[in-house]
Amino acid sequence: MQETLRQLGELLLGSIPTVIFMVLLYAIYTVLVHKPLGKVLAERRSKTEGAVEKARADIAAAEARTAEYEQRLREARVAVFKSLETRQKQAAQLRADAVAEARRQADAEIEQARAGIEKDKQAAQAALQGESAQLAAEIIRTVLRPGTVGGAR
Amino acid sequence: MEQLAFTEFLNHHFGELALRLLTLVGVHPKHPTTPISNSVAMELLVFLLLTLFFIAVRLRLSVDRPGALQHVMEGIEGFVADLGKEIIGHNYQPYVGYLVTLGVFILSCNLIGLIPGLESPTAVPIVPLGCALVTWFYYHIQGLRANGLGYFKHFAGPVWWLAPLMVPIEIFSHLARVLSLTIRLFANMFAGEMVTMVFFSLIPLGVPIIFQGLHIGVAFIQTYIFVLLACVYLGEATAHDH
Repeated sequence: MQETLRQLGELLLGSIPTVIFMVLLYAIYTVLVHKPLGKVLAERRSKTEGAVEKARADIAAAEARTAEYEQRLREARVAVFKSLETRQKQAAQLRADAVAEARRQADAEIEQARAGIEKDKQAAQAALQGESAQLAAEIIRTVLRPGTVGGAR
Repeated sequence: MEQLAFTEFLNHHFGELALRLLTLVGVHPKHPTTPISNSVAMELLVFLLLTLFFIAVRLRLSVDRPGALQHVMEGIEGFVADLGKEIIGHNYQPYVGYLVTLGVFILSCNLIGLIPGLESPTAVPIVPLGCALVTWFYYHIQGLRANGLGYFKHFAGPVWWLAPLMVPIEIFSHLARVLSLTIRLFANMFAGEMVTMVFFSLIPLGVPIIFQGLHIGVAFIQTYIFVLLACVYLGEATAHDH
């Protein structure tokens, strides 16, 4: 037991230089490398991530503008379609009015023509009646003229 | 004790100073003429090389033009951070620095033995013990910081009337973690070196390279396991009971 403890004591004593070297090396590493390297990596990360964030922000802004343009385009199309529809309605109305006017004029002309025809017809009938009386008298005169078949010999 | 060239250099130039410091704190080395052992010398070499590496990384840090060293460091930190995130959870960030230090130190200690003329300090028990002790104290301290005195409830088990049984079991379990971390790393590194040496003494050409390759694989795996277990212990210690 004594021998074991003595050997253990020797081992622990012998390990003291290692402990000192390790502690000193840890301090040197932390001051010389770990902290400065941490700062370098943080700066690099911020530059990289900053650039990535800026790119993302630019993409988001571009997407927002695209969405705005598309919205305006949609509104413009709707306005154009509405204007077109209105004009089409107006044109259709004008055409309908023109057709109605033309029809009315045509009907008026037809009526006028009809009236003219009727008048002519009546004039013709009156003329015919006068001529027929004359013709009848002429026929009678001819028929009743002596020397003709139906006249006295 | 057979000294490595670097150890001999250190003992020659700093042996006296080291002896005075050790005597000052009441430690009497077994070999007063060579107070710095091979393992301590190799640890010091790893420490100096890693410090130079960290300085080189620091001088070349750049946000938009990272060099090779920065890429390596970012890769190591990223790997350990992912491991910590997976095991510890969402509050893993404060522990990444320690876990990277632990991983890099152990891996460097494991691999330095592949260089001719140098040895792996982790093939000696005191170095893995030092790493295990630091990890043990670290996760307990972090557990106390995260949970306050409520951290000690973890030792009492799920129900209060089991506490008298659970507390000693938990204490032994936590102490056993130091033992298991130490022995796992030490045994693998020691065995790898022994196998390479045995085959080198039998067939000096070709065959030892296979075992050197195996030793490299074991070095990485053992480092990974040590860091993984440190993450598991940290995750358990810093968990909040909901």
